[in-house]
Amino acid sequence: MRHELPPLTPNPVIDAYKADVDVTLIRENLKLSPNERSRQLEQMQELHEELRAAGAAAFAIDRRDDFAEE
Amino acid sequence: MDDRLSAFAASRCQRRRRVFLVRGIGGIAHGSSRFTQDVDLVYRRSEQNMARIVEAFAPLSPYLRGAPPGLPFQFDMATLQQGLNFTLTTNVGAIDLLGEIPGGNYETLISHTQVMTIFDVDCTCLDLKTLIRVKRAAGRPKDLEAIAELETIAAERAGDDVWSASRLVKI
Repeated sequence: MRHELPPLTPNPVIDAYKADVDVTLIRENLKLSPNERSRQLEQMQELHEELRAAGAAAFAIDRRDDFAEE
Repeated sequence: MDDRLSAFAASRCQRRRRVFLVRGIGGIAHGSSRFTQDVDLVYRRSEQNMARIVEAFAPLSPYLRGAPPGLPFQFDMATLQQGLNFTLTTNVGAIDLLGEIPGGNYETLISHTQVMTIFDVDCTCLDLKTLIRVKRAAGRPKDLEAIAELETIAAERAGDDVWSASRLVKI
């Protein structure tokens, strides 16, 4: 038996946020299948990890410079 | 996302697994551009299903996320029966295992799911309108942007402004 959920009602706060939604990203995503979207997420995750590692490495180099004797 | 985490989540969410995907990854499956690092699963609290979950999670070394190391935490039937929602860290990534979420539980929400192929596996996910409902029900300020995006996706999909701000305000 289908459990009925309460209807969605207007929410002016959520509506205010819609002005800042990037519709171009949504339209690009909607061209993809759900599977392609999930693979895109994985690629973004890999990029995120690479950037984080690069940032940590750069920070370590900066720190060495800070403490290097002149 | 760790391939092993996505593979695990997907395998758990296959039909008849008595588990389905909600929140972040569910939103991405529907077209959200938001980034997420964890997997949220709603599970059926039947004895048989909980036994399956304990068995499936065992190789992942689940532990309470954010808890100090060394606690005598064991992810077994007794733990699952005595608890409800678990925010876990595992050796494949963060997994939230949820017996109930604002807006419902397995029994009340399962009829509002759909099967989508994600991570190359047919997964059961909340449908878009229900995902919006449960996010609204959670009432978390941090979700407001995500809800606005999901409602915009619904409007884009519908090809009209049923979900747009102007239309909703008029209702």
